[in-house]
Amino acid sequence: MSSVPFLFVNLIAMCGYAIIFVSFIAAKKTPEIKAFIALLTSFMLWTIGSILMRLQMYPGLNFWYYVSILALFCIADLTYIFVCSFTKTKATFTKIIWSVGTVIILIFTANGVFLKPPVPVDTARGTVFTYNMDWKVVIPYIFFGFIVASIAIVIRQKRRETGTRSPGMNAMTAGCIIIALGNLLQIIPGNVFPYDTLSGIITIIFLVWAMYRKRMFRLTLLVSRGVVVCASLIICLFASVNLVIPLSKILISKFELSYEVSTSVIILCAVVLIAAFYLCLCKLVNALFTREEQQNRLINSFSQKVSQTLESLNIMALLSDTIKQEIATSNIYICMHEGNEYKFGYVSSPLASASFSLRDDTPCVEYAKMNETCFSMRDFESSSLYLSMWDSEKMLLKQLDISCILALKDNDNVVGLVLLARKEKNNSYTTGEMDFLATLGSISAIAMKNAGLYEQVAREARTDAMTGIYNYRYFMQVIKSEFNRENRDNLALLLIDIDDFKLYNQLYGSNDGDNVLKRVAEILQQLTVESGYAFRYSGKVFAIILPGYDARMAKSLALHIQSEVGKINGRGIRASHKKITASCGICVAPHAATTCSELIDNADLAVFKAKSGGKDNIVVFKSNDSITYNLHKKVERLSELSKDTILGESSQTIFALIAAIDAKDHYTAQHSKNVARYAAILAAANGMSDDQIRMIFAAGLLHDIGKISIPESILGKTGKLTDEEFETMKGHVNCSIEMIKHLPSMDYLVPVAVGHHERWDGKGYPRGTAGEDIPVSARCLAIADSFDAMTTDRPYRKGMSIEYAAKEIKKGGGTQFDPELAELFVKLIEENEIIVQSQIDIN
Amino acid sequence: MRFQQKIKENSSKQIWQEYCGFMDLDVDSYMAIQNRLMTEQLKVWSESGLGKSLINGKTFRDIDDFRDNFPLTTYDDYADILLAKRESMLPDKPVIWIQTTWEGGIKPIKVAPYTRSMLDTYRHNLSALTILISAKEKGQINVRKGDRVLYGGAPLPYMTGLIPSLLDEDIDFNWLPSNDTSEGSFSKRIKQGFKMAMSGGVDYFFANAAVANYITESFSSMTSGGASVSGTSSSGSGSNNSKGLPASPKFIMRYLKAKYIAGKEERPIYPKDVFKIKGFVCTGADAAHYRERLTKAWGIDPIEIAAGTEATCIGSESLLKRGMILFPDACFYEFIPEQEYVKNLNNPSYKPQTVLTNEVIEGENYEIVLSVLHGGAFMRYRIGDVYHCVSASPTGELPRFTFYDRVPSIIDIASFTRITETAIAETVRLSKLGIDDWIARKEFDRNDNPYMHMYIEISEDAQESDVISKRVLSEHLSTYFKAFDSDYDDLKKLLNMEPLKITILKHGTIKAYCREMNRELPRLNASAGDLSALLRYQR
Repeated sequence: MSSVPFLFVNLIAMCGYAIIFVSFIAAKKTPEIKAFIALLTSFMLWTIGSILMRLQMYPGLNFWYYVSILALFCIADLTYIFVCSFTKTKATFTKIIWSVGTVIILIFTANGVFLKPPVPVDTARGTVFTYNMDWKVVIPYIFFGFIVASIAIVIRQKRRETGTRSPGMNAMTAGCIIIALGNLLQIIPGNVFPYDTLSGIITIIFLVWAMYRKRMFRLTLLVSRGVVVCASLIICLFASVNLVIPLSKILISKFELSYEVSTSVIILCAVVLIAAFYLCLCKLVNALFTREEQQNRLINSFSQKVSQTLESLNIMALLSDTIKQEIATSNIYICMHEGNEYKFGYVSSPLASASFSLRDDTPCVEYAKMNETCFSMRDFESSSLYLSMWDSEKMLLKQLDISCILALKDNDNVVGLVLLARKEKNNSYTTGEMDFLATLGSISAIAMKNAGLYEQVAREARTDAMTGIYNYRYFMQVIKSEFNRENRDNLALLLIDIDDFKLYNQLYGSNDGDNVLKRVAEILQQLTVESGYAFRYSGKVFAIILPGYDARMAKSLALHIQSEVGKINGRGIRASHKKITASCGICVAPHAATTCSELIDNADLAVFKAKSGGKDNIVVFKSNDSITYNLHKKVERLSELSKDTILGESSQTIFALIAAIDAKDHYTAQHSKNVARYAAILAAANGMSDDQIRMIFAAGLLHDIGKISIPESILGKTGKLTDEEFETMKGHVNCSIEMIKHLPSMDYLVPVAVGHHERWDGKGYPRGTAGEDIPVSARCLAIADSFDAMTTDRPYRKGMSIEYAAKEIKKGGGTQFDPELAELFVKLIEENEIIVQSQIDIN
Repeated sequence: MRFQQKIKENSSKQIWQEYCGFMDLDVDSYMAIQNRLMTEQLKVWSESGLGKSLINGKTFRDIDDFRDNFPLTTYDDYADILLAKRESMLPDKPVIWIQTTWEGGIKPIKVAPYTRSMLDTYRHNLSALTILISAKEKGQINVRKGDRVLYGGAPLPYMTGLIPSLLDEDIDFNWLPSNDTSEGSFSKRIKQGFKMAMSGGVDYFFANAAVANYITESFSSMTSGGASVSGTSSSGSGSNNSKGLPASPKFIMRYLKAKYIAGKEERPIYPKDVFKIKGFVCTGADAAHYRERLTKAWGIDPIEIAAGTEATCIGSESLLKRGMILFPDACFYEFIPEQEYVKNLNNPSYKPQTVLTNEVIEGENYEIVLSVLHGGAFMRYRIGDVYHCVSASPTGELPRFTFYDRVPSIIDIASFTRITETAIAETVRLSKLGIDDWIARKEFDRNDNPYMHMYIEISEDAQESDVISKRVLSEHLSTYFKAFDSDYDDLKKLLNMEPLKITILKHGTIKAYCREMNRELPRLNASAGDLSALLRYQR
């Protein structure tokens, strides 16, 4: 037997064993690890004994022979014990039998019964160790055959019970087969290669891998860069030792190189070999063993990033990206808990589109609550809970090719589900990957919960509680931001007012009315998903902001809305209910409005006109191109018209109210008429449309109608009003609003009436709004109201002169009044466009 | 992943949990599965044309509302849509239509649609069944690729014909006879399968109880021409002689071994002497009556399963415990207590109340009502089977059932034929035998073989003019029954059974008895007490 391959293989094996042994000494001593260390020790002693015997080291050949053979004869029993530990097989009785048998065999072996120590014979090829064998050597091998059979039975039984997919099972089986094969090859006559030692080191590597797969220890304990360097150096050293002489011979004889050159070539080759080997080994180690480190890095980075965001979508994107960096899955779908379902929220692939939801009673949620947060579909399918999956749910998961599910669990609540598609190359998710996912899941769940709470608060702040669509507050934000957006194209505002809604509530109850509003909101939301934003503007008025829409497109949408709203009643329990209709007003900037507030005012007017025009109408606001030169005439014409058109069905009521206030307080009745006329002329001069003028006129007539509720003692008081009386007097504004609100189709006048005591500088009442936030119509009314109040005789004082009043108006511009309108008003007085009532009376 | 691959790759524990885990559920978890699947079924069914046509525009809030307001159904309710196979009206597209006879041939065949999901569930439950019938202890997986199944079920388009096809999707079993063998009569297939079993052995035996009994009784004659197992030579035809049996070394070894054992114990050869089977499945209404003798002959207790054309396989027992547990994902189960269905039988306008699986009481009999899940067509459907609840633990263990009988309005003979009052009345009318009055009952002979016993009264005119011996009447009626009902004919042809026995009553006895008792006597399955009283009254 040549000693070169023998020593080479044995030394490599020895070094390998030593590295593994040292690493495992530091590991936590579980029964499996203990059994493995015992087995490894046995392998080491066998190899050491064998090497030192060949080298005939002190204390001598016989000593090392017995060390080697006794260790070898222990291997079968120790392998059995290890296999039993690894597979959790008790088999106490069998273990005792084999252990006792092994001890007996060892005693006989130690006494040289089965095989005597070899005799070294010097030959031309070196020292050869010759064994004198007789039939007795068969005895221990028969005994070991039984142990091997026992091992095979245990493995077979466990493979059946746990299946071939059980972690580490295949590696352990392979290790056992390899050691058995190596020992069989060793007894082939004429063999000179140490197959048994080679199979020993391979077996140990397989067993280590099996334990790693079963998570019995962490490989980072075993492998470090130092170990890698040592291993590569040892391997290269042995390779060099064995290859230097043959290579040198080849270089000198075949290539006829000088000794010096051949030495240089060999050194160069050795350096390249060591470097290449080291790099390859590092890469392999990084790929195999340092994954945990990479996972930890990713987890840390993810943890930091999610702590800096409060947006669910960002968290989902971060989670998906982090998973993608570590796990080669084709797609990741993230669903978040909303209401009573898990709604799809994010997909990792930008090209994938998905729209689905899972009911929150879906069995995978229950499974996650009862088991690990991260689980494979295969495990889930094995559970009884899977039986209650709906066909549609199974189909969905199948279509998405889901292979693993991560539940984002916050205490007992599953706040989200991460559905991971099958991995590339169809590999299954490993335990390490699932642990990694579970860690990410825990971090995400908390982040998602916080983000969810934040978003909920934000959502509630901009959502109408009853209808669930955006509220007025958010409307103002959106319209301003859309209006001021750079490079804005058309911006259409569509106001939808439900016709005769008060009557509807009275007929069918406010509960039914609320349901109608909810249904309208649903319709608007459905129809504006892609095109714009829907809002509840006020009680029964909805608004839709449509960026990029022109009047034609907005009108088309309004028609669609009207059609859908018309279908709300007439079926089911509402079959006999009054048909729901809606009046729509549209204004498009920049064609019909130059400021945001103008856009809103004009849309308001358009809807007002739509209602005035018989309801269930759509009106697109059109700007009035030219200002009529004879404003007075125009206003007269419009005010005459208003009796039929603006006031419409309420005209009789309104005039009855005016008559009542006239009877109670003549001044107020006349004052209202004056204010209506002055304000209308001012509006006309300001270039406002006919509709606006009509509205302002009507508002003027009604703006003080609330005074009907003020005691005559206060209305007719000649002295100064006390604070209390003044407060009562101020209440007339709210009374006016309350009364106007109850007039059919007149609620559009409320903003005008409510705003006529507001001041430009915000110090007015009842709301204290300022500047352009006060509707333009109210600003007109405020000037007209003040002017008439000043120029009219009152019981406690005489009316001021027109000039003085005009001067006061001008003076109030910028503080009490809109400066531009105040100036315009004064100009109209000066140019006699406004003829003051006192002058008419005189004439 | 196929069941076969799972057996190889997964742990026994995991496989048991996946397929048989439902057996360990507590009744609340079981009901949670039932309710969830029924919620989906109710939704898809209500939205289908079939559902809409039956619920007449009603909507149901939940399952309780549905149970309160939707009546129990029979096949008549579905016939116009299902018989025309109007697939567009169904909750889900059917993959296959399974058929069976209806009213013993008086009406056209019944067909039932099977959706892909139903088939998947059926297959899953069949795989569970193979585990359950072969496991000697909980968690044990004894099923192996290549196991040989002696199959005595009817072929497609009957429901049992699906079993080999479905299991083939999951595991490579060797079917005896081959699943591809579609040629030849049912009888020939059984014989061919048996020959193959003799040659290569058998691991599972699946058959209708009567067929299994027939094979068992013919066993001795098939192997040696000797005496039958149970000594009931009347039903063992002996026609299947050993001519066709292969004389392979294996067979010779088996035979010699069996002969030795039988000779030692001084008895005929039993199947158990030749085969060591892992599992034995016995179906059919009379399985319980055959159970003891089959166990004796095969050395293994046959497992009872519950199945039906409209319902798929709905329940199975295991070797470990007596009584079937119903699969939670096949159908939604309701049960009509005995007093309720009897009340309904006497007064068809009475709406019987139902209870759910978690409400059944141990020791009681119940008629089962099914709603087929996974897009099935039948809802609150009465299949006409009565089950006996053998255990219903208050601690939450799942209730177990055994098949008790068909409902009293049906006479089921060996699960081959189901004879109704209409079918008998029609036969009596067409036979023109001058039968004035009759009643019929299912009875069992001394060997526990089922038969229909007709008690008839011949009109006085016929007594004078016609030949009316018992033999003539029996032959005459049998001829008409066979003409009407091919299944009835099969009893004689396949199993060599004589399913009809006649007793002639004195003319006017039945009417007089009813007058005396002041109540009507049911035409079918009158109680033993009533019958004894009737016969006494006659005397």
